[in-house]
Amino acid sequence: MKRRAAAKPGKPRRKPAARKPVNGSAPRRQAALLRLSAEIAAAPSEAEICRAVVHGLRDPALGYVFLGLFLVDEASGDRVLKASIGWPDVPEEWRVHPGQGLSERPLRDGKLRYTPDVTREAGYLPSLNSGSEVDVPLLIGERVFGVLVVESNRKNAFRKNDFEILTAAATQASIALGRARLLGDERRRANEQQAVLDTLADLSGELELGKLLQAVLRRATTLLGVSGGELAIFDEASNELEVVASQQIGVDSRGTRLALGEGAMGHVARSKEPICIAEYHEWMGQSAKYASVDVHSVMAAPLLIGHRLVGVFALTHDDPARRFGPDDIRLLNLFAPQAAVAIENARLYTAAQRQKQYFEELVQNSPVAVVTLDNRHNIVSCNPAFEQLYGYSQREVIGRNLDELISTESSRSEAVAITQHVLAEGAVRSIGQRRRRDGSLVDVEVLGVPVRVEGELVGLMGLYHDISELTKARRTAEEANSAKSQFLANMSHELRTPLNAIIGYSEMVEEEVSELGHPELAPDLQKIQSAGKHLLALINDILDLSKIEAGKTELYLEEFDVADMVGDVVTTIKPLVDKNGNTLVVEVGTVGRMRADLTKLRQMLLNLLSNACKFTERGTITLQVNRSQVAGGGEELLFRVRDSGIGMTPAQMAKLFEAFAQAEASTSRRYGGTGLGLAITRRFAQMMRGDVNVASEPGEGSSFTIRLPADVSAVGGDGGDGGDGEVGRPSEGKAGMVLVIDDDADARDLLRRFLESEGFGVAEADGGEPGLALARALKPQAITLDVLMPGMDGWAVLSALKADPELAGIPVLMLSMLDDKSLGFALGASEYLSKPVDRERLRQVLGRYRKDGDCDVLIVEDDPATRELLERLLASEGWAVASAENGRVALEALEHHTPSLILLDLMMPVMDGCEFATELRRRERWREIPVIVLTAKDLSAEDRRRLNGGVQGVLQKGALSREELLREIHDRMAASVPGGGR
Amino acid sequence: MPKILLVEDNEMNRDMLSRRLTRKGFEVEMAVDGLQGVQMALANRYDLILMDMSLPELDGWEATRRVREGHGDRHVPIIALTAHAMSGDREKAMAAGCDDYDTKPVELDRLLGKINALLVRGER
Repeated sequence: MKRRAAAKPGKPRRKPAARKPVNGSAPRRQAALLRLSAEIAAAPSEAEICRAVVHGLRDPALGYVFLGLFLVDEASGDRVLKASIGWPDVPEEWRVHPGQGLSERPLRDGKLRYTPDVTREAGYLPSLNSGSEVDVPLLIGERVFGVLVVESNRKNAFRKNDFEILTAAATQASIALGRARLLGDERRRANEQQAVLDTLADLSGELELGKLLQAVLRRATTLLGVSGGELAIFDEASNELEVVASQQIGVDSRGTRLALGEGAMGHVARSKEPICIAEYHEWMGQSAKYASVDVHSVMAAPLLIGHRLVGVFALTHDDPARRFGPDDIRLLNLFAPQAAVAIENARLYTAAQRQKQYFEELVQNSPVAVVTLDNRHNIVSCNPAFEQLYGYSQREVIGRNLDELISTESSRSEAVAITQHVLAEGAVRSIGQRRRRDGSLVDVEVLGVPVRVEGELVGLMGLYHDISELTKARRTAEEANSAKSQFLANMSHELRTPLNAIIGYSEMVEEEVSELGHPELAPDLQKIQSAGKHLLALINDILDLSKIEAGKTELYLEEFDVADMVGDVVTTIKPLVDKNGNTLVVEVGTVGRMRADLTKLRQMLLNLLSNACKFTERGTITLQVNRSQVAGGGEELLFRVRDSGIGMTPAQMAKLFEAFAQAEASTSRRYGGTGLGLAITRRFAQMMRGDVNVASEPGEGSSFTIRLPADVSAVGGDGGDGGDGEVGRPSEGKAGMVLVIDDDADARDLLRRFLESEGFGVAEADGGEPGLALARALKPQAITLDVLMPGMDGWAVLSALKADPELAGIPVLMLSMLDDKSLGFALGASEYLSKPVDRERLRQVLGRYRKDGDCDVLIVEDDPATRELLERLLASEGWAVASAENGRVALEALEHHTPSLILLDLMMPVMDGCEFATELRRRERWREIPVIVLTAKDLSAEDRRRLNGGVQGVLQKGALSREELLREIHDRMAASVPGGGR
Repeated sequence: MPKILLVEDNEMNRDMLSRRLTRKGFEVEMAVDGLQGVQMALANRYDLILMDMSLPELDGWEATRRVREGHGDRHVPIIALTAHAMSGDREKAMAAGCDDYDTKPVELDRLLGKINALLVRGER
C-alpha cells in the first residue's frame, strides 16, 4: 500500500493496514455496486453523498480499504477532503494545495490515473507507506470538480475490473454531487437574495449618510464573510473618490481621496468592472496611500446606478488561505446595485435636508414678514419678522385664520379677496392696512403666493413688507407738493394785486403830473413803474418755472398764421429794440400756418428778442423765420434770433439754459432780467417737442434758434424728461383718439399698432408730464397709462387727471406689471389691466369707449366683475359690446353709440337704472332702443312705477343660464329691429 | 359817452382803473363781486363790461355765462381781466363768452385799444 503522495511533512499519517482481497465474486460486487448507487441517490447533501461513496466502496464485497474523496475549491484551487476511510489522522476539510500530490493529475486531464508503485513517482516520500494508488476524476461534463483517491499498501494491487468499478462509482458520485450542487446553488442563491433584500430593507430605512455607509460596509463584510473592507463615494465635482467608511484593514483610511485609476478602488471607478486581486502586496496597481495596509487579497466593485458611478467598495481577506472567486463577485453584483441606490437616496435626502435648512434659514432671517397658510387659510408657520411686525408670537398664531387675525374692519373683505384670488388664480400684490396685536395699524405691501407641491395646491404664503415709512413719506411729499402748488397760486394773486396797484397808480400819476404842470416828477414815477414791472416779470418767470417743474404747465394748441404771430411779437418788442439804439431786421420766408401753443411761442420769442436787446448796444438784431421738411417726415419751423452783442464763451453757453444762471452773476445787475427766461424758453420748446439751440463767440454776438414741429399735436411728450426715444406721431382714427402714456417705446409701439388696427387714432407720450399736457391738448377718447415710469409715475398721473375737472371724465386704463387693482380703482381708474396685456380683454374694454358706429348691446352695470362677464359672453356671440358703469356714463355713451339693445342694472351709483330709463325715454331718438333690466333685486311697486313700462323685460340675475340670457337678447332684438336678430 | 361796467373786487384796482377810464372819457359804473356784476349787467344797459375773473361770490367765468344767458340775443362786449398771465386763461375766458381778454396789471393803452375795437365793432 502506499500513502498519498506529497502530503506536507508533519501531516498525519495513515497506518499500514492488512491487504484485503481486492475483489469478491462478481455477483456480490454487482450487489455492492447497486447498494452504493442507491445510497448515493438517497443522500440529501453533498457531504452525505461523499460519505456514501467512500462507505459504499468500503463494502467487503469490493474490498477497498483506504479511500478519500476531495472536491476542488474553485476560489483557491485547493482539493478539500470531504470524506475518507482508513485515514484516521487526517482532519476534516483537509486541504491539498495545487501543485501537490498525485491526486492532482486527473484534475489536469480528466482521466483516471493508476500508479502501480508510488515509490517510483517523483515526490514520493520514503517515510510513508509504499504501495499502489488509483485517482479517479469526478466530472461534470468536461469539468473536473473533485477526485476519488483509492490506495493500497501493496504494489500492483489494482486491476482492470477495479478501474471499472471505481469509474462507475465516480460517475454515480459525479451525477449525484452535480445535482446536489445545483440544488445547493439555488438554495444558496435564494439565501443570498434574501440577505440582500434584508440589507436593502434595512438600509433604505437609514437616511443619514454617515451611518448608512458604515451599515453598508458592515453588511457587505458579513455577507461575503470577509475580514474587512472600505467604501468610497464618488465626488463628481472633483472627479475623485473619497473613502467614507473603513473596517479592519489595518489603517483608518477614511478621508483618503483617490483619483480615477489610483489603487484598486480607483481602478474599479475607471473601469466600472469588479476586480479581484489575489496578492495585494504584489499587485502593480496599488496606491502609495495603501502601503501600510494589512490585507492579503482584495476584491473591489463599483457602485453604479445605471452607468453613473456613485461609489466603490472594496473587501479584503487578511487570511492568505482565502481568495476571492466568481461566487464572491456574483454576490457582490447582487449587493452593489442595492447599496448604490441606498447611498444615492441618502445622499439626495441629505442634500434635500440641507436645502430645506438653507431655505428655513432664509425665511427665519428675512426682514420681510412671511406667513404660510393651509388651504383653509389657517396659519401653519410664520417667521420672526412676522412676529415683530404684528406683535404675535408664532405659538399664538398657529392654527388661527390669518385674515381674521390681522385685517381691519375696512380691509377684511380686501384681505379675504386676496386670499381667495391667490387660491383661485395665482400670486397677488397689493397695498393695504393691517392690524397689529395691540390694535395699531400698519401700512403694508402684501404679496400673496400660492404654494404648490408637484402641481397640487397645498396652501399659500403671505409676504408683508412694512411700508408705513414709505407711505408716510409719500403722503408728506404729496402734502408738501400740494402745499407748494397752493402757495404758488396764492402768491400769484397776493403778489400781483398790490403790484398791479403800484404800476397802475404810478402810471396814472405820471399822466396826471404832466397835465398838472409838474413834468419834473415824471422820471421818478417812471422809475417806480419800471421797478414794478421788473418785479412782475420776476414773479411771472418764477411762477412759470415752478409750474413747469410741478408738471402743471399745460399746452393749449391752436392753429395760427405764423407771419401774423411774428408781426405781433415785433410790435411788442419794438420799444425795447429802440431803447439800446438797436436795429431789428425781420426775415420771414413762406411759413404758412402752424399748430402750437401760441401764447408760449410768443413768450419764447419775446424772451430771446429781449435778451438780444439787452446784450446788444447800437447793433443789429435779426429775426429769421423759416419752414422746412424734417428728415423723419413732417415739417418744422425755425425761429432764429441773432444779435451783434457781447457774445458768450463755451463755458457760459453750457450754463445758459439752467435756471437762475446768467452768464455771470454780475450780468444780472448790469443787464437786469431774472435769468429764468432761457430756461423757460427751452422747457416750453421741449414740451412742444422742439428745442432751443445757441451758437456764440465772445464779442461776435449770439444766435438762438427755436425749432418746433409745424403741428405740435402730431407729436407728444416732453423730451427733457427721461423718455426713451422718439415718440410716434398721433394718428387719426374714426373710433376716436387714445392717448398712450408709457415710458417704454416698445410698449407704446405695440399698443399703437393694436389700437390703430382697432380703428383708433393714437397719440403717445413717454412720461407723466407730457402725458398730462397732451391729455389737456387733445382731450382723447381714452388714456392708457403705464404705472411704472421714471419721474412722475402712473399713480401721480392718474391722480392729476382725476383732479382736473376737464380731464376727470376721460376713462383711464391702467396697464401694469403689478397687480394693484384696488389702488387703481380707488384712484379712479376705469380699468386695470395686467401686463402683458391680453389683447382680447383690451379690445372689449376699449369697445366701451369707441366713438364710431353702432354697437349692438350697451351694458349698464356698476359691478366690474358682472360687467366683464357680460361683455365676454356677448362678445363671444359676435355682438359688438359697449359698457358704462352707471346711468350717467351710459347717457354719455349714447351720444356716440346707438345700441340695438341696452342691458340695464338697477342699483348703481351716480345715476341708477330707473333714472336712466326715464332719461332715455325723454329723448326721441333713443326711445325705441329696447331695454332689458338685469337685476339682483325684486322689483318693488315703486320700481315698476319708476320704470313706467319703459323696459322690455326684467331678468333676475343668476336665475338664467347663459343660453337663456342669450336667447332673451336675441328675441328682444329681433322684435325691435326690422329684420333683426342674428 | 360810452358806459362801462367794471366788475372788480380789489378796491385799489377798481379805483385806479375807474379813474383812468373816466379821464379817458368813459362813464364807469362799478360792481364789487360777480353776483352784483350780473345783477347790474342785467338791470342796466352798458356799452361794455370789464370783468375780473377771480371774484368772490361768483367767479368771472360764471358771471359772464349768466350775463350771456340773461341777455339772450343782446350782445354786450365783455373783456376778461385776469391776474393769471398763464396761457389757458384766455381760452377759458373766450369759452365762457368773453369777447376779449387782458392781463393785469393793466397796460392802459393796450386795454384802451381793445375797448375801442369792441365798441367800434358794436356800433357797426
